[in-house]
Amino acid sequence: MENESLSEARNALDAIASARGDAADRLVTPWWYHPVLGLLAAAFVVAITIGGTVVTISVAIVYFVGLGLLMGAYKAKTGLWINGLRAGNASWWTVPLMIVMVACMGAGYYLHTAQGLDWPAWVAGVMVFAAVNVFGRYFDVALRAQLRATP
Amino acid sequence: MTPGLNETIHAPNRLRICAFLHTLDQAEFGTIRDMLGVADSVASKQLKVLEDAGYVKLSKPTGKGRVKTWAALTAEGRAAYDDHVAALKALIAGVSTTED
Repeated sequence: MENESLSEARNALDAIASARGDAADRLVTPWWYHPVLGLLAAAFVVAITIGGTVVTISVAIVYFVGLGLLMGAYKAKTGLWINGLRAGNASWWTVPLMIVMVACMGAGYYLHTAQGLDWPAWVAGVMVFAAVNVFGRYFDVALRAQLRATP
Repeated sequence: MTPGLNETIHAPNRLRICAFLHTLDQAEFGTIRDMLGVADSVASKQLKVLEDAGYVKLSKPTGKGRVKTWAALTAEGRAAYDDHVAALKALIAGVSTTED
């Protein structure tokens, strides 16, 4: 009786591991996802840093609508959705991304207002684009490893 | 049923659905069906049992094209699943300790 319960419990944990592994296999981010997200974030950073009111509002609208469309495309492609901020330990990869975004925006904005320079904003945009692509891929790898780990 | 285990969750297909959804925010019905490797009717029935228990929320967002059903674990479902997994682990740990 005891052995039967033990065997049942082990089979149940195996089934859980199998389901988690299946989720990890399916959570393959389409190749275009991070580049598009990076472009949206870069445009947002450049607009906030050096754009006027009209440009900033316009780009902000494009940014948020774009995020919605990107999320919809990801869901249609994978049949899944996971919020990057609620993905367990993998979510820690959003911290360096936020730091890079805020630092780039702050530096670009300071140099624009204090020194009258526009080019740092474009450099900030490039850095944010790169950060989204690099940290986004680290996030994906960490998430899949986390899902395949023991439940 | 071993004490501590949740009868609703413990059935193999429902356990796999809960384990799958526990890792995600949402999964589409067809993806869940493919993960289980069962027919539409079987997947639908298992999701209905979980929905009736308050463990899963089913939604059908409207939009362009065919309407798809999306499933997500509720807070109650997450808590019940966590308790169930803890009970499974405790069962194994208890028996292993006894065997030692």
